[in-house]
Amino acid sequence: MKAKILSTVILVILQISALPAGETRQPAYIRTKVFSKQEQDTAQINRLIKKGFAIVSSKKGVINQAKVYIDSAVLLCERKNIGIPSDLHLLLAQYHYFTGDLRSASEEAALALKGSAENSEMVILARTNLFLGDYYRRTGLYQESLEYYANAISIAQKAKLKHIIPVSYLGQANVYSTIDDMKSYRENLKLMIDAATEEYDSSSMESGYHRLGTSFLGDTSTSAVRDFRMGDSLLRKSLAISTRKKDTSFISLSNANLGWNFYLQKMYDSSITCYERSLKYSLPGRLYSIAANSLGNLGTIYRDLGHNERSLQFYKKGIQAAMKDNDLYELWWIHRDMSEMYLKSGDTSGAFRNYVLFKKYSDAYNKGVTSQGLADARLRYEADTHNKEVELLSLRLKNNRLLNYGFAGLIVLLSFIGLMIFRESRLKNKRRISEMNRKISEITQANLRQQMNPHFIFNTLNSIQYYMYQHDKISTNNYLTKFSSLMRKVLDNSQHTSVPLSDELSALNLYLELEAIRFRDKFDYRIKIDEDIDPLMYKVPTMLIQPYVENSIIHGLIPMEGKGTVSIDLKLQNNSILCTIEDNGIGRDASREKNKAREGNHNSLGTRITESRLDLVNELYGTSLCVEYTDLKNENGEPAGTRVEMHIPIIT
Amino acid sequence: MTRRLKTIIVDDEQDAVGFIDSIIGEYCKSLVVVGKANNVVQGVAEINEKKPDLVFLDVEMPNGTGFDLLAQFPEKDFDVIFITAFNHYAIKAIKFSAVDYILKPININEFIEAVDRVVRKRSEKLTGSNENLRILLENLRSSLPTRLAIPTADGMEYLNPKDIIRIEADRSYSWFYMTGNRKILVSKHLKEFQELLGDRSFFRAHNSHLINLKHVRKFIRKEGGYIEMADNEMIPVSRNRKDLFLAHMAKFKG
Repeated sequence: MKAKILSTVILVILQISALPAGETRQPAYIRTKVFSKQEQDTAQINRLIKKGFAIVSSKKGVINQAKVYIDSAVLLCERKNIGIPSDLHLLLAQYHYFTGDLRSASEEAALALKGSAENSEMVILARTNLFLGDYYRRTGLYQESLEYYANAISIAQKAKLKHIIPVSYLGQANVYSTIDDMKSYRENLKLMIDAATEEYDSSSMESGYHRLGTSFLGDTSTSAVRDFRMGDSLLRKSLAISTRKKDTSFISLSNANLGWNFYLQKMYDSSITCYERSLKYSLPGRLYSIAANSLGNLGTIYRDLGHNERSLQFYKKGIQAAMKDNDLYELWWIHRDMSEMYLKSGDTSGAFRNYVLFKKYSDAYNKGVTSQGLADARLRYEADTHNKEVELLSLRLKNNRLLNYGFAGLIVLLSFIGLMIFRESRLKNKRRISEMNRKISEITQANLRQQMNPHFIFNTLNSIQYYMYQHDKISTNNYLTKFSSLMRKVLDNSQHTSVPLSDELSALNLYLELEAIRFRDKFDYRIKIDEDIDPLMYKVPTMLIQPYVENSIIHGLIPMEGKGTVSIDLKLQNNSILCTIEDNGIGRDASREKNKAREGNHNSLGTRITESRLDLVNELYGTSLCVEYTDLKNENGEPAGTRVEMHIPIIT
Repeated sequence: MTRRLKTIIVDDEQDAVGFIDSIIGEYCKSLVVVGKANNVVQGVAEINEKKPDLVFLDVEMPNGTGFDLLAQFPEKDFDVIFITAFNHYAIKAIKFSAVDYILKPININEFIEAVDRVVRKRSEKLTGSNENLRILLENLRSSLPTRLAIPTADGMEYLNPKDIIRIEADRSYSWFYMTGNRKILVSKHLKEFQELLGDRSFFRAHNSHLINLKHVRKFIRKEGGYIEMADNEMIPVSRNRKDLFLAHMAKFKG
């Protein structure tokens, strides 16, 4: 009883919220019911629609121009009391689809479907089905997508329509490609080619052969999908068509892919010939992405052949070309390959330079991919909620509560599965990238370590100099040799990405001893290690703790009056070491004030470097190491020091 | 008053020779510098001529290392304190052979302590062939030192790490359990051996156990985990070391 009242209330609310929206959003629905036949107006409308379609299907960045034609057409319909024709609905659907308004797109598509079915406008019906195939593919409802493509195909077969069938098969192929079903992907491409052959549709044949051929290449020579012969012969078929058609973009694309196929087969001469042929078309045609790909790959081929100079020339040209198109993908892999080349030839600074660029571009590229993924997820969510509304509205008519729950459950399940798939793919992507970056990350780490040393050196050398004037030979000698032990330790540790904790701690100890000599009576220090921790056996990333301890001493303890204490506490916690650095100094706010009084705050260099190292360590070992600051207060609520906590991964 | 020890300094850097000479003059009254050399050839000549008790020997010199010099004396009836600027591969062999060394720049306190050790040793037993130096040259011949010098109740023993099944801590002493049911007590802390052997096949399975992975028979999971060693002993594995042990074991087998 209660449930019934509740559901009625919900439905009433929905009704209220849905009604005005329906009225403002769907004026077209009312207009379609009015018919008027005025030949010249219809012709005018048709012309406008045609122009609109031309713009929408060219997919260039002039989508707003389409809006002008659409508005004019709608206005004309309204003024002349002509019902909105189905193809205008379809055009509107496509327009909304491209501008990202998926909700309106699906509404218009539904109207186009209904209108064209009622009037037996088979072309528009088929095209609308085709559009809905694309629509559901983009929103991630793959089963629906496949069904609409199949509808489009069967309508086109019955009505003997041209152009629809190959494109629909391509759509189905793309769905299978998205869900990684290679077998079905290829089957549909074959069907696409057959249909295109029957229709003498050379563009679809060309594109079908190209895609099918490319599907046999793979990313590596050991890829499971790879078949050298198939790839070669299919790409050549595509190339033959392109050559006949003088289609420069496909000629250069197919040649580049043929080159890649030869490269994976280690047939470098043939590969070079193909890439050079590709360049003959891509460069004059201003197809810079394809050109960048060819140039970069030529660079890598010459690199593999050991012609580093030649390789470098091509890499540079490739980068120039990629820059023209701002093609982040080409830029990142070319810099990666260049970095590897420098690494192999022992030029670590060249390797590092290019690594940095590689990282920059790959980050930008992946960010693009991720944000695209996020945008898609958002679209999917919007489409889901839209579906939910539609379903609830239809439910209102049927008043079927059972179905209500069923649909709600289904939708929740669908969004959940969608989210899981999305997360899984993102995780997989992330893992692959981190694996790939791992090797080159180590070079970067070496560079960062080098930045850290001067920090130690000059502070201490300065105090040794002062010490010499104040003290006897033995204590100066003690100071100096402690410093040299520390330098030795730092240099030793920097040879490795990870060292036994004992080495890390002995460097820290030496550092503290030196600072304690330098700032007599200013601070005490304590290092406490949990009994569970075996410092000789646990390996940790190098030089992580020291910069934070230095911060505590220099910014927390030294500026305070009297003597302070810094304590370092290491505890074992869930397979990592929890390191707590606590001081009873002036606190971060006061320190910031003092720094502001002086110019800038260049002192945080050490921690800044360490922070970028934390990022690298995280990337290197897949950890989520982070540093947490706590401002300590005494019982009166006054600042009483700073606590820094970090989880250091144990490396096995 | 005992006899002062005749000392020779061999180092290719004139400054280093001068510095060692001055600290001996100022702080080590038990030594007397009888010769100085800047390379292996001069050093050999000086040693042959002066018959020293102690040689300060630089490891890295142009035209031959300190070890090359040492190899030319089959008797080795003098003590050696190595001086080296860098913590290189040979340090491991020097430590393994229980020979003294000092890093440059020289810490005067450490220098005095090393000299005291030699003086004490010399006063305890009369001069004779220096076995540790012979072992050192042997250890340097292979990439991994093969003889570990350990001080026992009756003097030095030289063990092949391969034959050590496990080492057990007994307060500040360590028990060596060897193949062939032999058991040796050493007056050193287990930690020192962990430092020397930790990068080989040895693993600290427990606070008081350093085991040789070569002699592990099996791992028993029950009751927190035990390792059965080749001498039938069951070694407990600390809870927090279990994962590391399995990781090391996997790496060791692979």
